[in-house]
Amino acid sequence: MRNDLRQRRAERGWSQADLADKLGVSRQTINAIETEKYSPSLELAFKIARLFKLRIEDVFQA
Amino acid sequence: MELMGRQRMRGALPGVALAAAFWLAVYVAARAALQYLRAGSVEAVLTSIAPIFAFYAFAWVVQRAVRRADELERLIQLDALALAFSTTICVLMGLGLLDIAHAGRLEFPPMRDWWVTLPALYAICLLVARRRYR
Repeated sequence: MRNDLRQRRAERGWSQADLADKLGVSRQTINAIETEKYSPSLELAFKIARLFKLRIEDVFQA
Repeated sequence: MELMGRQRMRGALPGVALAAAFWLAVYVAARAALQYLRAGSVEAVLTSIAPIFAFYAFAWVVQRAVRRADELERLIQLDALALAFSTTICVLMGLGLLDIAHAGRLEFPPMRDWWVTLPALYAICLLVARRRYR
């Protein structure tokens, strides 16, 4: 699933580790999502969207 | 602060390593003891099943560690186990058929040692599964 998570994260000056801490997942998971090697679960996708105060479709594109 | 995803798995590693060492120690001790015990005796039977209980303790520790892992780590563990399981089946099935085809003339490791195939393949498949998501 395509996403612009890296860009959103960089806009806020967060490292992958920072974002991982805020979401309760590993840095490996954040990296895999950003490189589009892994599609997060619905629960995690909602968490991500809520953290950035965006809709899911603003972050992830099918 | 609560440990996150992979940190939770890493935090569980010392416990997993300790449980694995305990299991292997019990197994090695059982193999050594069986050489001196009378075949078919109660002592020999109890000694031979002792590693099974040690292994279940190890499996319980591993299961607890996986439950604490995040979703990607769980997927990696599942990928590794699925690949290791299917590869082990192929290897053991192939060895069995080769044994029939060569009517016992091939030199094989003793059947008592074949179980090592699954954990060894799991370790390799775990590395492969991790690389997929790097």
